[in-house]
Amino acid sequence: MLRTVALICPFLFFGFAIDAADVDFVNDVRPIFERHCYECHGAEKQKSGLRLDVKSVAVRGGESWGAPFIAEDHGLSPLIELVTSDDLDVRMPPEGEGLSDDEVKTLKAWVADGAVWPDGVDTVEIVDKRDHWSFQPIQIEGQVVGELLSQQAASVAVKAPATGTASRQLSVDHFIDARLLESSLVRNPSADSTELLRRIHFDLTGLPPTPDEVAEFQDHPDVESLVDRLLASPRYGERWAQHWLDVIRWAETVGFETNQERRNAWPYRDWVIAAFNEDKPYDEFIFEQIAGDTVGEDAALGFLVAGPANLPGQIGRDEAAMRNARQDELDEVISTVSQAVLGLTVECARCHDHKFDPIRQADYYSMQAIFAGLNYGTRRWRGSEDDQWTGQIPDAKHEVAALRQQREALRIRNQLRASLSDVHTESFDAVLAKSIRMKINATTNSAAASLYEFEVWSAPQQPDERPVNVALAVNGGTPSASSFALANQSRHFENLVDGSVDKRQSYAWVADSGGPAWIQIQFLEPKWVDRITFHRGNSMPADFVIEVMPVATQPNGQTPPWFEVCHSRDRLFRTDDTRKPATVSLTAVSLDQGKAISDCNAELRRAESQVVRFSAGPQVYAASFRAQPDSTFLLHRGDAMQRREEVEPAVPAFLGSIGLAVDAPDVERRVQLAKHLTNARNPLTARVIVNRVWQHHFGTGLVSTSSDFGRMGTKPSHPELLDWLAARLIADGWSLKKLHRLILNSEAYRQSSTAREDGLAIDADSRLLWRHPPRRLEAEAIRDSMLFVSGKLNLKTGGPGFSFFNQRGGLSDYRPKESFAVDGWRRMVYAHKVRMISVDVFGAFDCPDFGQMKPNRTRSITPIQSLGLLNSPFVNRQASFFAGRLVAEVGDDVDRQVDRAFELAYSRIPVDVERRVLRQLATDHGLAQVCRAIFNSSEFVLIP
Amino acid sequence: MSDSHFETAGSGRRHFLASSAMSVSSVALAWMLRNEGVTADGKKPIEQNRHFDVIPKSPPSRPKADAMISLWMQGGPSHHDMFDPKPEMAKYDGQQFPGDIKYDNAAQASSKVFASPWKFQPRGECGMELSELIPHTATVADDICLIRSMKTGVNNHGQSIRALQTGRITAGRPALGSWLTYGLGCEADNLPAFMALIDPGQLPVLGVENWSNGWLPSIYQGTVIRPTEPRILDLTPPAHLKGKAQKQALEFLEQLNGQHVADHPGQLDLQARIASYQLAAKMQTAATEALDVSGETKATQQMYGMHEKATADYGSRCLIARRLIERGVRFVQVYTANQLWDSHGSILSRLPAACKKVDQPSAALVKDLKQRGLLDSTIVHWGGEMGRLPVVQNDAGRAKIGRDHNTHGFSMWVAGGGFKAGQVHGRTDEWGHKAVEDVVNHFDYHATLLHLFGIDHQQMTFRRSNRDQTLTDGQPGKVISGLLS
Repeated sequence: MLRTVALICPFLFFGFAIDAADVDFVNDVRPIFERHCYECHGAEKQKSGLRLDVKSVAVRGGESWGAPFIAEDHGLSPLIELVTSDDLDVRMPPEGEGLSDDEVKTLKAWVADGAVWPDGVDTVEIVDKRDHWSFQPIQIEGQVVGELLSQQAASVAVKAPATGTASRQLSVDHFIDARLLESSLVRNPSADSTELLRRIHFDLTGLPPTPDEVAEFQDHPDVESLVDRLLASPRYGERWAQHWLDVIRWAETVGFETNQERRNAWPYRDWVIAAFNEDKPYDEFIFEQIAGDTVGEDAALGFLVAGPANLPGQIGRDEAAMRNARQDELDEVISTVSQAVLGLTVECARCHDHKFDPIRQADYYSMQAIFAGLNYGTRRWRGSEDDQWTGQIPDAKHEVAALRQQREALRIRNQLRASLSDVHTESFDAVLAKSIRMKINATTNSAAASLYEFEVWSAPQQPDERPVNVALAVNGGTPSASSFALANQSRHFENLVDGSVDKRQSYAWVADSGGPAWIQIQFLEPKWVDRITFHRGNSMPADFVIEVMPVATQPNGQTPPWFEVCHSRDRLFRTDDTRKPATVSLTAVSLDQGKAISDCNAELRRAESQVVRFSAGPQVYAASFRAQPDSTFLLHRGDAMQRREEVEPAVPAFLGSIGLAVDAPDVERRVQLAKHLTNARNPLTARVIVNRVWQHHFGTGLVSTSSDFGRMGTKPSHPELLDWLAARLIADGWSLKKLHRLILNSEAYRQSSTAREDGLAIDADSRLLWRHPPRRLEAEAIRDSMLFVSGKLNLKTGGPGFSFFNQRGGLSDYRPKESFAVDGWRRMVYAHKVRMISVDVFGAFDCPDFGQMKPNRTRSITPIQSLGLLNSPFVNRQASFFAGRLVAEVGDDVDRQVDRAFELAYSRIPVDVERRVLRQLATDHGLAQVCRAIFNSSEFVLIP
Repeated sequence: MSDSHFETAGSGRRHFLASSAMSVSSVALAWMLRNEGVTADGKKPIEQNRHFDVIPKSPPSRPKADAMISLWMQGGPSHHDMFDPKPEMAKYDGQQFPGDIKYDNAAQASSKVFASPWKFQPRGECGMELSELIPHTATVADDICLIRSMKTGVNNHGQSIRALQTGRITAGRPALGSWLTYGLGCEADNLPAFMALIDPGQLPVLGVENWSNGWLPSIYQGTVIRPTEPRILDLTPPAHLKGKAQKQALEFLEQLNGQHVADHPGQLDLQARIASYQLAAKMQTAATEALDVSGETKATQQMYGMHEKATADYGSRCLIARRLIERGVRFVQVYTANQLWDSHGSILSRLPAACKKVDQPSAALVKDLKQRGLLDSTIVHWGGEMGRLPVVQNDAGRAKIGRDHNTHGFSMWVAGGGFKAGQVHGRTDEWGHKAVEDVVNHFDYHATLLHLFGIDHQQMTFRRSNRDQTLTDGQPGKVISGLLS
């Protein structure tokens, strides 16, 4: 009723019913909205596109009604109509009591008065999530670098700004000093040459300088040539690869409960080290990690599968579990790519639109679609070794053929039938049987007997009859068996007659232990049968007898005995039969001949596996791909069982389009993504990597959240510097070594780390770089430096890693190794990385366990660290080696020993008090104690 | 609450100048810097500026509890067979279950009702019904508060462990012990604040996540105590360096480091490193002493079952837990082996064995704390991440049957520290499948725990990514008054 009136004559109500002048939006109207509307039309939800808490949006209205307060054309008010409707399907709010009469009156009065919503009273602001610094083009002095497009143009802008500041030389120091000036701070003077030398050595190589290098540098303190020399050292790639491996939590086990080893994962680590050492341009570095298969860089694809992923066997066969596991696998890939390359947390949009960044849920699934063809596992590792193996295939195949002939000759000589096959059929004279059984006396590998399925086929007795599998449970077959394996229906004999041999859907029967076993099928009623077929299970029968219990034909009425209808004792035993010849009973074959067959089998197995190995090529743990991926769907609330619309492969829409069709082939998807990421116009890729490089030179990035450049990340301390460095990187052909030079040759980098009152008071973290921020070395650098100083560092590069544990993967708890041989004295980047398990001594130094991405390590200080460095066998042993080295180098004079120890460990000679203290220690307790104290000292573990 | 979260306690206790530890002057410096940071522009200081320590702190409200020992029963103890009698189910034993079951492993599921084969009877003066599997726990029935209505509602180990251990099912969050030591520090100045006593078998599911500091600073991570000697790796020096040599080496090291500090004033980390060696030095004797149970009386050792094979390991770790709490450690968790309680099959033989392992030591811990007057201020928790279903799993003969997971209703018990003694809280449905009365979600449990420590669960925050993070993380946790004495 009201609705009609409102439509026909709003004026009546609005004009006269209430004194309009009393109604105020803030005091009277908004509280009503808050009570009744904002739950669905506020900041969290905007049902029908209507939002009532912000004026600029509210006055536009929603999808179905347009301007909600007063319709523009004839002054009607959808708002009033909706809150007063009699139609409960229309009335707002849809649930509960609805508005009180007073509230309705207030709204009517407000609308009658022209729905005045003053400006500037809103308590919330609409934020355009795209309006964020890191999503804007890279700019230098107001000029957008991306618009200049080509590297040449960027290069021009970087080196000779077109604005009035052209004469001014831009540099790292220019930006640092300008910001310091704003805070009335100045930089420290240069660090002394030894400090600087150590700092650069640790930063670039993770190792201290040798005394010769110290002397050399003191004579020729030329930082630029020092930096060049260290960047050319293979030690540089070993140091910087670990930074990248941290970011993507690369490890060599799968994680989860089994934590099984990923063999052959190490080539990726070596690829990263080589990429840094060769100064592979960063755009190529990224391209190859996403689409390296297109350019012959297969090992680079280890990047995409760096994260943890559960093993198929751990997931089970439940549809929901399998789908969820697949979603989890791809989620790891999305996290890796988006955080590492873009500094975006795209994975946060898995269940709903990203709360803070302009990443819609559809964007998440579009990115997932790019990787829809991806599989975790191993792939062929193309390259010289692969070529060599391929060349050996013909010979290997020839050998197999020759051995097969030899085997066939043995078969004929001994008058044997062909070997059993995995799905094996035996026929026999038709017999009317009540039951049938198979006695398995042995299996090919002596494992417990096992079959997937056992079929018994009827012998048609009428012309129009067809054979039927009478063993099937649905046809009345009742199975039984000597036993079945423990605790689990997945090994039950009922599986024999369930009609399914699909290993993803059904299970096998497995006996509970090795040795003879039997299965039996009782028919619903006596059947004429003439044929059985069995499907091998977890093991393969090698020696069996089939017996039937016929329907009684004996005149005395006794239960008829079992009688044999066929057996396997006249068959050549299989190539995979590994039983000892003496235990194999074949009819009419001598032991010698049995042995000859067995030997021939062994040779054939070896030759066949060689063909398989050569044909597959060397394997690397890396992503592999299906050429035509499955469709990808948006999942409602991220639930794998609630598929919604199909999505096309794409990058988050706010970053642009990469123009992929919904059915684009896998390789095109990844190539387009890689091109998008490494396009000079991408605002994030260059910024993110220059920030990471900066972080490892100064301890903290210009953006401290180095894998989150989104709106929840921190803002850059020096935005213009970040952009300038990014532009320089692009202009310099994405060369990271040039970027290092740019940074290390700055005064800001070279200044001393001395603390000052004024600096601490204003900027205690030294983010503004009034000093070089000193910091503790990472676990790897501490360990490697110890070995370096003791003289035991093994500089062997590449290949499978050494282990910190007595095992490389698996379930049981990890026992740390206490003693390492030469192989274990390699640099720590070459350690076999076990996910989720901390290594002894050095794990305590915030060495990540690679369970999660670690863009910046914490630098804790704990007593467990101290105990490890003080008391561990490793450190004490290295201290002894260090002492031995000192004696070998300078002889027995204690002062000279202490001096040499300082030169090696600290790049300086001791001051008097230090010499005195350590001489005392050496005299009382031996030189090794001096070395141990040095390894524990702050000076040894800090970058000055 | 700002990141300073609590005032430093002004008591006369020895301050733990700790893993984190700083000299008093450097602590003062850090505070001064932070306070200036706050007042200068009214904003919170940036993350790197914050100083963290484990100096003991007074909570905002008067606490009932100041320490906690959690006996972590990973795998899901079968509440039907230990804590939650359903005598009516006997009538339906072996018959079809009439309702809906939330299975974890549908492939092995059956719907045959599985009434507990073990007898229950009222225990203690309170009459709490407990099964014959846990006769020792029965003797402390009047001291414990049995919760029969626990719920996390997520159906696998990992997620449910995270819910109970870290507040939410998502990975990467700090463990409960990390939160407590972050908020309250540690009373001991010679032992770590949070200790994890692992089993000699495999690590519990999720391994180190169980005592991870997550994104809290690493001084709040649990320190793992190994299940066998040496309980802490590298705790003591090689034999030839023990005694005077070690002492002198440490003195020289301190001189060396002291010289370094003198040359590098204003670097807080350097002071902290010196302090960490001081704690390490103290731990060499203090932890050695605390972890050595040989000095306990024979009666005490026997009470914990250390003389019997089945209970020797868990008993000695429970006893160590008591010794650590006695010495001022804030939070200790004592783990059972990986999936000890995950009774999918052979429950008739495996469950009694698991109970045998922990029943006597757990009860002994409660008794021992009580007789020493420590129970009033120490919370003891006994429980895992789930319970089991009322139906048979793995129907392959009586000896092989088991029960599948159930996180919709299960039992655990708590004692001391302000929990109401001798009472049963909450109820599951008639089948023991779902919690239906006075339900205690993991976040309710956490809110209640923190309340007993004098902390409002919404008020203890850690600023991270521009959000004030909490243990309960916005979940509607309530302090369950029915659990409180």
